[in-house]
Amino acid sequence: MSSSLFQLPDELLFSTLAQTFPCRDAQIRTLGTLLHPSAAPCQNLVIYGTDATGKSAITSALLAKLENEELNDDGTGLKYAIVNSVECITSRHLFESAVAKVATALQWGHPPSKCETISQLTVELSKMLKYTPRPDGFRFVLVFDGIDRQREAPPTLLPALARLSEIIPCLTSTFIVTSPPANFLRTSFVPHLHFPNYTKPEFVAILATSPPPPLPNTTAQETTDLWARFAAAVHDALARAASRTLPSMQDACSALWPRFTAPILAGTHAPREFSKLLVASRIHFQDERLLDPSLLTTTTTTSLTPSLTDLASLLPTTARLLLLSAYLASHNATRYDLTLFSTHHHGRRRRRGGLSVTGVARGGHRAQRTKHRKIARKLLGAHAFVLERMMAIFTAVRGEWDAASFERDGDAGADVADVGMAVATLASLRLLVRVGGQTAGGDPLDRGGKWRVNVGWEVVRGLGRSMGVEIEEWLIE
Amino acid sequence: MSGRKNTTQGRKRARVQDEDDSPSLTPAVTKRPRLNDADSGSPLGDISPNPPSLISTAINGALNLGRRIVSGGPPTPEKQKPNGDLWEIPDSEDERSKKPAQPKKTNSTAKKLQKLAAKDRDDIYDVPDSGDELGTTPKLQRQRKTTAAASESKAKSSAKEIESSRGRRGRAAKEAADETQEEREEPTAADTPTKPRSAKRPPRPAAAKEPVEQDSGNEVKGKSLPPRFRRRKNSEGEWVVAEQKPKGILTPVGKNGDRARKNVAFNSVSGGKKGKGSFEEALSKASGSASKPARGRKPAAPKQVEVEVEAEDEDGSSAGEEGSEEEEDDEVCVVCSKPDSKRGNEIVFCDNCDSAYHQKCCGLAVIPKGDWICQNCSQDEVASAPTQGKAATVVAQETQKPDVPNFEQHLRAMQRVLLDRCSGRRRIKLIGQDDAYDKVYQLVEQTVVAGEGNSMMVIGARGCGKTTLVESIVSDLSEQHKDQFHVVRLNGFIHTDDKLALREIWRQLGKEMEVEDDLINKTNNYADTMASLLALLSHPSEIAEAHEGVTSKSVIFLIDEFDLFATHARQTLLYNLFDIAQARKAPIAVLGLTTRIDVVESLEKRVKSRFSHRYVYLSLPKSLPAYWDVCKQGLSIDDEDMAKEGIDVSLEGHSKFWKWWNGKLETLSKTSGFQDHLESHFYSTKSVPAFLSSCILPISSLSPTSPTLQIPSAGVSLSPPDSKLHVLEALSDLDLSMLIAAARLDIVAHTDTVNFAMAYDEYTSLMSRQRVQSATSGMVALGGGARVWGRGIASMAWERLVTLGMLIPAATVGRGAASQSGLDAKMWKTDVALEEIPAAVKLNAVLGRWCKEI
Repeated sequence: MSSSLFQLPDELLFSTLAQTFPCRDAQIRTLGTLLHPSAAPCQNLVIYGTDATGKSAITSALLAKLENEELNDDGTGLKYAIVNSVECITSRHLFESAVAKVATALQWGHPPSKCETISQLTVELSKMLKYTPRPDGFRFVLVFDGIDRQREAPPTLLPALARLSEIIPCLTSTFIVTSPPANFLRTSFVPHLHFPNYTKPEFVAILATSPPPPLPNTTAQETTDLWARFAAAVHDALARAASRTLPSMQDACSALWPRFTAPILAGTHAPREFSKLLVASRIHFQDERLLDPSLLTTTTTTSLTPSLTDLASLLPTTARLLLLSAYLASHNATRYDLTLFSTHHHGRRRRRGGLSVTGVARGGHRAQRTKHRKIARKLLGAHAFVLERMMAIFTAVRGEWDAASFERDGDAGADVADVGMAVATLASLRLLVRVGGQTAGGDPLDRGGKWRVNVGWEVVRGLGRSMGVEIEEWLIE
Repeated sequence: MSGRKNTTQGRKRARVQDEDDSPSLTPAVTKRPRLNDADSGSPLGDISPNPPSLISTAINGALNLGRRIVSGGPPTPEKQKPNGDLWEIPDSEDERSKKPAQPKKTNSTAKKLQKLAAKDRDDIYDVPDSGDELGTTPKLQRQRKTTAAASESKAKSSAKEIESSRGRRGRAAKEAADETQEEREEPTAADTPTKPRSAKRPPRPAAAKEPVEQDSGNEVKGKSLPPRFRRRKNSEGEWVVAEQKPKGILTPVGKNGDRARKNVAFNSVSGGKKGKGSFEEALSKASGSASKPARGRKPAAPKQVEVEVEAEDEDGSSAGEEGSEEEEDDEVCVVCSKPDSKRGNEIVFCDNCDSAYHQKCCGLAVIPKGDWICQNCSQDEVASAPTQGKAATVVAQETQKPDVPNFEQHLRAMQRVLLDRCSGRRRIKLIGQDDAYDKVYQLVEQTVVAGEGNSMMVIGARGCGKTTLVESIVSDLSEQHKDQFHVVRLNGFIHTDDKLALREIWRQLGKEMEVEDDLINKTNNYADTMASLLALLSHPSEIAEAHEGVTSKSVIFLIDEFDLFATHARQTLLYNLFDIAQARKAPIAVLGLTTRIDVVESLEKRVKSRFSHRYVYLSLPKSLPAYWDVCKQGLSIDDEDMAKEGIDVSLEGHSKFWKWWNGKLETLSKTSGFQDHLESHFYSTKSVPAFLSSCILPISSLSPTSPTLQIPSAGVSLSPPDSKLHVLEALSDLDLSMLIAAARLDIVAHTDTVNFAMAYDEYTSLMSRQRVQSATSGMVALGGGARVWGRGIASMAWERLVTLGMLIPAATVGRGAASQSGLDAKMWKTDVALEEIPAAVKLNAVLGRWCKEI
């Protein structure tokens, strides 16, 4: 060590990497300095930043370059291993894959069969790195990618991993995290390197590096210019507004580009007329499906799909009624049941579903005048109810909502096996969920069991309308 | 609808609010108590089953439709008579005037019409205003209006109908001269004659009234005067007070008033007379005392938008539902923020984002035909200056390289040593810890040399040098007494239970004592390990099988994070170690390193009694000079350490180089920037490693061409983030909106947990309010903030917030029932308070207002 001198990594290394990863020059340089064996290698290093900012990609690319470079050089060398926490189910899995990867990187003959604890990990790594003689300037970089998302991690995991480099001098532990809590490694000080999200010029510059193939009746230069402007417009319309990550912006750009350039292909506009193109394709820029691909697929398929996914068309009447009454049971307080469903006075149900009476708590606007407004009950999620209550509501409501079958079956119709089967069907579809002790089992038709409805407001409203019922009128806040 | 009404009438259960609830044509309505709460039951609820937020968004479209129909042809004289129409027409004209194809013409017609409107409106304002209107929030007024209109249109669904009813309403307003009353009339087609009530209430002061007239006149008459500034000048006295009243009344009075009503859903309304009385009381209270707090709440120079909104509401009451559109008259140039539009320098609107520009401000000589797009939207800056990336950060500041032979070699060697020190790979000397060093050294030496059993605790904060102290003692001792002791290092983070720790001790001792591997591996059993370990450690004379005459070597146990060992079950390991140390079974020294000053309290009694109760406390540097003395080692090397650090003293130019370097360092440490940097570290953490880490990059950027050290450096910082708020900068507008909505609910609805449904509901209601306020209703601007994203996208944003840790699950989510319910119902806590958000990230105007206005 005494003979070695300080030396920064090769400038060529930085410039090639900066071409691959534009707009990350400062981060690449710093990372290179902090990892290179003959520059200023640290013991621990934390790399943090939100998703899709190039943390993992740049780290692995840089390490690969450093490893190759050092091989050509003198005795000093750098090896690395990257352990991705997402791929590891338990912490034991993490330890074992770490050991396996280090062994592979070092071409270690006999990888240990098992490694259950952090203590064993320390021993195994020490065997490979500490007790085996290595050249003077040798460094090993062990990268823990996404270690803050490690599942079943004990609270001592991160501090313990940070201690590895104290025990093994030639080790650099690198932690890639999203947002490090203060002093989460429990050591005195660890350098933190921030990868901020890209700004608008950076987004545009990155996208400009991969322009689409030139359009038929334009030059390549024109296409490139248009692409850059287009990318900036996409950024303003979609990326900054709703989804500010590079992948989603790339997806949106590639999805929008054909529609945006359609007027050029048709010959109505020249590629120079950006503003006209923009106005022409304004409607496309407001398309939410660009950001949420799942929405895209449902509409591109045929018109059959909505009916296939629509509960209203899938379920038979009894099941629909049951689901509606389950929703009412979940979302109305028990004490209003009498008000809602009783036929005591004039044979006509005095339903005063939440509208006339409440006022204050209904909806957002209304309630703003109270200092602390109440939150609409339907927003609070479903409450559990006893099956008996749902059946009672079902019986009460059935005559009004489904007069035909009520006439046919009479009052006894409520109890026929049809209803039991409908409940079982709903439960097996997980539209109704058994609450508490569902593994304990028992009869699903046990009238005392607690259930909860598992469909949301939108679905239920549609379901109600399919039967001509405005379910809103039956809800009391 | 009528059937419903009949039942309510017929029910006659003396529920006063029932009368309110029925939006009917019956005269009963006019007798309604004028109470804020009284009509909060709202006709809206009865008519449409949708939640209000949904309605008002949906309604905007309907309104626009209606307006378009009206404004389709040229304005006819009949239509100009009633107030409502007057407001209708300029408006729609203005909307068209956004297309700058013929802005001049439309502007002039608009002006004419607006003049007319102003005239008409003067009439209205001649009648003394009641104070009543002050009692309602402008926003609510408007909402009620829109929804009411919507219900009309839903019932009859004809735009003309709206027109005529609005006209009638305008007349009614003139007659009745009671604006609030008139507003309440709106749902009931405004046919019924209204009783003038202004006599009862104190008339609004003239001073307060006149500015309204002036302003509304000015505003309308063609943007020649900057209305807002005038308004504010006028406003100092009464005007501001009058503006503030709505808020002042709404919030505090409703709560603390002497009405003993509770806000339970079923009886949110009190009896008529009492309600009225209390309301008037509240009103007088508000106009008297509440004005001060109200003004205090708003800074001396209120935000333009607010004033605008409120002022507009003043006349909005007579202008029907056009309140929101009037703002277009107030469009100010984005560049110069002036609203005047003159011939030759007119305001043009971007066809993409609807922002307004003066011709001169955006350099437009002639108003172009067809579409025009502002510079922002045309992305000119992108096209013109393709970003070069960031310029190279390392710029050679100076090139005065000192005249030293072998300069580069000296510099590189020095960098090597300094960087190793800064990154913690080379130990630095302990300064100011001599007492502690001596104590520990003596104790360990006694164990090694004299075979004593000892135990000691080394206590000190992180980064104060505990490990450095102990390790340097071990290395010092090993120089003198090589092969006379073993060292066992344990760490509480790594050896998480006694079994692991014991095996580790066994392994380390076995390695040092060269016991065969199979022996280590054979003793898998805890008891076996313990027994053999004890046998190994114990004094040979005590064990029969051991050979006579062999003295055991002493063992030093360095136990890092000692406090964690105290959490192990029954503290077996500690008990045995301390027992061995105390009973002199074997020469061992137990050094516990910990940050916890009360660590002994966590020991069990039997363990504590075997501990020798010897402590060494290490402290952080007590003064700034002392701190600098320690830190200096990261920037320079003392003469006596040169050889030890492997620097070739004999190389030519050595002394000259170091003289030059130390001189440079001296001047650097005198600069104020460096002093600030040092002090900030000293006063915040006193952590030496933190300061040294901040020197890594500056030192490594030194080169023979630019040998000047710069601390603090301008480039990348290696310090950890202060909080997780740095994440906010990376969020999109929608993410922030959802976060703000969730954080608002914490305050507004007084819940500490939110789910997606609640946050999205809040978001849409905020957004629809925003849309009503902003001029761009009906036209969804491309880049504008007035876009309501759908549920799917919003749930993506919500999930992103969850991933980034801005939302943390409220209940511990297992695999049970809680995780089965969908995204809607799962409860979360926001990890960010509402007031933190504007401080952490630069918000746009809309989001900023959401954070401020509760």
